[in-house]
Amino acid sequence: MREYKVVVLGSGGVGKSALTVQFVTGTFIEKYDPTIEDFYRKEIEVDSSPSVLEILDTAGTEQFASMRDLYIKNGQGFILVYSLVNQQSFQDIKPMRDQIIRVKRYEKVPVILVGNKVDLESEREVSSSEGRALAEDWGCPFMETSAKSKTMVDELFAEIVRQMNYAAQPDKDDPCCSACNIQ
Amino acid sequence: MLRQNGGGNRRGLGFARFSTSNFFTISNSATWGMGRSTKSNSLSSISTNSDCYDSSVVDPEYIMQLVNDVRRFADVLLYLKEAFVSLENQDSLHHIVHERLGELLRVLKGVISKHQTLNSVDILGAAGTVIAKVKAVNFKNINEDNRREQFGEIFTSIDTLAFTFGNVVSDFLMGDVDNGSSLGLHVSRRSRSFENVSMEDCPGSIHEKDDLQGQLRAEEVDNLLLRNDSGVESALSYAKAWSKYTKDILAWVEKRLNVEAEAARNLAKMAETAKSIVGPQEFMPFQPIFTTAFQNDVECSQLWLQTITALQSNKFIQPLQARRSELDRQRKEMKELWQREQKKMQELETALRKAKLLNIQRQDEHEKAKSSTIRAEEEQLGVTGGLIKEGSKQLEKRRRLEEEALQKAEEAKEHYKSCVAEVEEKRMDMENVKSEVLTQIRELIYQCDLTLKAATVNLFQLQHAQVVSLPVNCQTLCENAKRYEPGQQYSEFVKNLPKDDIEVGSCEAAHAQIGRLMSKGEENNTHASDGNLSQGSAEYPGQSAEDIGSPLYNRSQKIGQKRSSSSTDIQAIRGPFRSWSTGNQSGGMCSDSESAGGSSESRSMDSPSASPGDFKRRLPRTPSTGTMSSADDLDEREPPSPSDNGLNDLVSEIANSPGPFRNTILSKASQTHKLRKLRAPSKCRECDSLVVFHGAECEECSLACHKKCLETLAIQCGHKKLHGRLHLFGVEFTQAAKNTPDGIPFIIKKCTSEIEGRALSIKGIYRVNGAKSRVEKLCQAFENGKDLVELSDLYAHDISNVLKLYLRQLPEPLIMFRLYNELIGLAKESQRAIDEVDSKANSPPLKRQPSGVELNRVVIKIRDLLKQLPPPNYNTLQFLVGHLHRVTEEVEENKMTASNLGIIFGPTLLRPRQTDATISLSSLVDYPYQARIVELLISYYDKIFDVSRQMINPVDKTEDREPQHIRKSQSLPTGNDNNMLSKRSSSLDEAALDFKGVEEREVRSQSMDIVEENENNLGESEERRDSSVGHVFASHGSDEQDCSMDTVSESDVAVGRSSSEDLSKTNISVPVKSYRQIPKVQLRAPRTKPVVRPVSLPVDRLLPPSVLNENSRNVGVTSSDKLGKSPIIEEVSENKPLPTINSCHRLSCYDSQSYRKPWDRQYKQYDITPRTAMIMTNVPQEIRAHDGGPTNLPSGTTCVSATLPKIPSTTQLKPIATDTNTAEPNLLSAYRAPRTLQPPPGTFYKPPPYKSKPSEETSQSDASSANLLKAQCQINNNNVNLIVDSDIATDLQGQGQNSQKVVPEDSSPQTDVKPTFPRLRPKRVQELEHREAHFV
Repeated sequence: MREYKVVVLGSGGVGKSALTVQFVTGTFIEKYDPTIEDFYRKEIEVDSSPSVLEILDTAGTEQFASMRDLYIKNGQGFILVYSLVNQQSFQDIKPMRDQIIRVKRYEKVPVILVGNKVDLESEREVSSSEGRALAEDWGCPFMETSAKSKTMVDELFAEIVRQMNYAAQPDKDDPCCSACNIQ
Repeated sequence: MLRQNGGGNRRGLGFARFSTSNFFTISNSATWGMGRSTKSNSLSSISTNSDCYDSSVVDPEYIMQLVNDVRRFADVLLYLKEAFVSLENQDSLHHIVHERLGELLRVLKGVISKHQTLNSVDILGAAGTVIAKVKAVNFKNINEDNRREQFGEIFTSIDTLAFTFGNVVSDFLMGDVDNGSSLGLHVSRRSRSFENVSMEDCPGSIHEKDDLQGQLRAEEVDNLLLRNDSGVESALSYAKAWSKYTKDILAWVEKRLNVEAEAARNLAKMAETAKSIVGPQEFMPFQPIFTTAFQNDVECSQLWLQTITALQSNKFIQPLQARRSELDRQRKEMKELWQREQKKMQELETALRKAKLLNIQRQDEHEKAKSSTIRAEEEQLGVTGGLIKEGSKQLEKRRRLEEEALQKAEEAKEHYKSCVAEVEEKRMDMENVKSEVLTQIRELIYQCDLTLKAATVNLFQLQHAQVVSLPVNCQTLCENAKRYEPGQQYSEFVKNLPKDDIEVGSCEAAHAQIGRLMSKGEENNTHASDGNLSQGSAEYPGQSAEDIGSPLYNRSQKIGQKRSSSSTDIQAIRGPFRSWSTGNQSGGMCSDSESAGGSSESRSMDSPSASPGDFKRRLPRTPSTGTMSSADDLDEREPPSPSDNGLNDLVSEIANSPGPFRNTILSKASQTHKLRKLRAPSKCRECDSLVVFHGAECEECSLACHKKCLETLAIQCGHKKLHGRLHLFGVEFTQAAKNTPDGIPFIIKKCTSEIEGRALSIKGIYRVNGAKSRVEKLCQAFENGKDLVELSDLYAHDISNVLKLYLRQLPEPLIMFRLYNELIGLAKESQRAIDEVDSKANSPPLKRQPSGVELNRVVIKIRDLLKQLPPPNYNTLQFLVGHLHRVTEEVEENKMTASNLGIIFGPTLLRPRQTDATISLSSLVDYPYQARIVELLISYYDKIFDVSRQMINPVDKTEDREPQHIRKSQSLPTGNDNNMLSKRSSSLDEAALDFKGVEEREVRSQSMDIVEENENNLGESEERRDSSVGHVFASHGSDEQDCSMDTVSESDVAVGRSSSEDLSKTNISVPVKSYRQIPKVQLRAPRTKPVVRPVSLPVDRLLPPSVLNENSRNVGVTSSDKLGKSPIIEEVSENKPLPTINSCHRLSCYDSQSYRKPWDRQYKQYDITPRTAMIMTNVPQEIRAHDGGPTNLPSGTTCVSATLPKIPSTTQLKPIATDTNTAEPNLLSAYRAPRTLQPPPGTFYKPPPYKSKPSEETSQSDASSANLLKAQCQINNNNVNLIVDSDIATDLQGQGQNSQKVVPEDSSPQTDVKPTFPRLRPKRVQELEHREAHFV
């Protein structure tokens, strides 16, 4: 059974923990505590192959930005989360991807761009086209999720596993294509 | 018809020809429609070619043309008339009349559009009558009898028209036509009339004809296409094009709607925000107008959104899309059908061709057979004899063959014929199918057009509806805005102020007046002169006496002065010293104060020429910084809201602001500058790049800036030369601390005060990041402009981010490296304690006690440890944690609990000394502990920083201030002013409140001194002063004694200083001090109210003000005495070396546990004897000081143990033991007495029913005996209040009798405290370990 080390990144309060906990336990956490770092493990079946996800839920608050290198070093796949009701969080996500590439020294790191809080459609500040454009720019899949209403949460983690599978096969030129059709 | 057509041509007018040609190709009603459209064409051509009129008067050619046109018009008129008169073609009369009427109108229109000047109401009216009359005729009922009377009216109207026209033309030729009026009129009038024509025409008699014509036309279309070979193809391609076209339209509309929706949402959002910000600002000019505008915006955007949804759903997009898809579907179907038919046709044709060929072939064969038969016959004739038989045989054969061939040929012919027939049939079929298809397509297209038409009408109707209210609203607003007179609101505002004054009491009004005057005068004096108090007081008696003499006059003068405030001032100073006056105006906030004091000053100086020197002296004083307003503002009648500054700026700007940057949008801060054009290239303070062109420069502070940067400039004018760039971020803390007297860097004060002012309830404050670019800009602004940075425009998250950034970038964190390990150790200890609690969550509560003790012990240790910090660090930390504590008080809204903030400020406030640059995993492991420490700091803020005496809660402050006001208003004239101020201040935000309170107090204390010296009848103020002096002394004392740099005492000293020292100095320090004066407010609390809010007691449980007041009066001096001494007591315990504490701690813990049972037994006995309390209070001071342990007992078992090594417990307890009779139990009671006696502040409130608490306890515990329960209560008490300051204990021992009552009350704080324990996440430790193993 393959193990996948997934790191969830994003700026403060975008719902990284909520997404992770929703995926792992199927519940939505209401509390608003900043994470320092949490670690979860879950077995899922992706494309009929069982896999173990080791999810590192990281601190978004900038105080812990210095730890990000460490996370990135240890992670294999990255879920970059922004809150689509907060334009700033969308801006914050860009340097994180740069950092991933810098640390990994490799362009095609498995990454998914995620706009969270899609349930708050009325307060939306980042349009899906913006997100999609950025994802296209990065050549990575893009999703809009909601941890609260459990929209696309399982799909998200399944997709990151797929991404990592693609990345593991160097022959595959374009890891993006299969992912793109999910949207 | 042809004749008419010819007639139309004859007229030769291009325009007329155009419309006539239309007239005949299309239906009658179409003519009207065309007429309308051409009208608009002609109108536009008129507007563009308006110069034709100018030339017309002089140009004879033009007149000739006009005459021609008039003649034509006359012709048409006659023509129309003829139609009625002629007896022939009775049946077609209806048609003819209408056609001719149309002709007439067209010509008239042509004439009018060509000759603008003829366009008059009269002609149009007459024409309208004609139209109406003609239409009124019922053509069907016309016969010879009624013809005359029916047409008579029409003739009259035609004649009138002709007459009017003639009149107008002759008028024009005489030069009498009023051009202007007719021009303005004709457009609407005409269009209306024509609209009427068409509208009335359509449903009328012509309607049927119209339908008929439409049908006809449709058939025509079909026929045309039928005749065309590729008719179906073209029709289909048209349908396809239509579909594509609709798609494009739909795409556009959809995009447009999206954009609109977004815009509408944004607008609404913006309007809401602006409304919420602007709404509450009273007395602002145009405020109601803007509020209405916002409202309008909101409503409008709602309407927009509604419209958009309507358009998106059933009004435009959906029907059109449905129609389009249907069209596509049907089009395809028809195409297939057509193609099928065509294929069949082709097949038949080929079959026909084949049949034809076969036919020909067979015919040939038949011919051949025929000829061969003939030949055979001929041969037979020539041959004789025996060959005959053979020959006849052959002949037979030939004949047979011929017959067969004939048969075949005939068959082929038949076949051919049938094929031809089939093809013919098919062709007919094809024709039918074609026409069918064509009809279908046409119908389809008609339907589509209908839908499109409906949709388009909907679209534009809705768009019209959505904007129709806009112009009206805007117009209304515009009108309202025009009505406003500059300064109106300001005067309203000012008018409102004195009313409050008068309401206080008519007899007191004068007093208030005097008081205000004096306080102001005093303030003036202190500002203007060197602030020598005695000098000030010497100067003022005269004036105040004068004021008393004529209070009414004074008041009115005051009001007037207020109203004109800065402007009069400026006017007074303006003149030769223009630059100064402008400086004044840009000063904004300070100009106000100067207007009050300064104006009198300049008046007294006879000539303004004397003022410059004075001004120079005053200029550096203007301490207006950041969002805080200057002290002067506060003493003035304006609430120091930022908007106030804006208003002043506005007023002054209107008054005289010829500056070169009038048209530039100025940020709030840049309005404070006195700008002029930059002369030499310099560095922009805003964007940090070079300014060469379009630069602005402040004349006072020489701040240079790009013109465009003025919009965002955050640095205010300091009215003195702006210092150079400061290195702030990443610079040693001591360096920043040096610049302020209390060691708290200005940036921390500014940021926290701004956040407290408006952002405490923002969700995720300090957690959510700011925008990097803005944060960087703000950092730059702080480095460039120091404390002059204006923050009120900025996002709260940016500000909080800057604060965190600053703290994080300190080379050595605020909590220094050397404390790190010990603190982390303590955090681990506390963690363990919590774990214990967690693990024993289900065990009897008895066993849980130790962990609470443990926690308290940790807290005390933290407290002691922090005292090792250098004073600036300690002060700053206290300030910051106090702020964070206030943040947690709004947890309901901002969701930032202490643990949340701990996580964020953990790595911000403390971090290990890093030997190597890389972040080790150990630091990662430490994060939770760092967070834990900060969490403890925040949640035990009161205990750790000994703030129980200094009310940290702003609510306390107001409560504590209010009684003073009341008291003062009774005794001191100044009181009124202050009272009023405080009333008004209640509406202001918290920061302003704090600040004002401080300023008030400061000013009051100054003014009081003066009042005292002037009027000696104020005994109470004497007492107050005494107490304050006493307090100051006491704090001085504590200052000397207390090695741990007590902030309270320090700020007290500051008060003393500020009231006695020269004011120029005070003024300079005001901006910096004002924030740190928050504790200054608190420091007076003990004097007025020696009551302490317990650690976690809800604020609303505080004393009623009356009690406070009582208390403060009676206890004033003594309490300050006590307070003065408290540090000594504290000191005893504090000075213990740490190791001793540690070693002894367990002992004490053990002691308390082992003694519990006997003590429990004794408890009741003790309770009954309040004597102990008396004894305790009666114990001589030395003993108390000596026996720091026992007295300090309530502050924690640690303290007890701390003293143990010094004095053996037996000896220590002896004096008390001897006083109380029973030795053994008394040893215990004495040992514990203070604990139980120590009534928390609860002494003053009504305790709830005694029974209630134990019952609560029973729910938690298994304990059965009431005694035990009670004891437990006590223990709980102890645990909670262990750390309550010793001085309080001393203070309150006198009230020992109450202690029992209070006891149950006390457990409630405990329940309050409790929830913070489980916050810790022991899980995290495990997780971390796990992860460590995993990742490494």
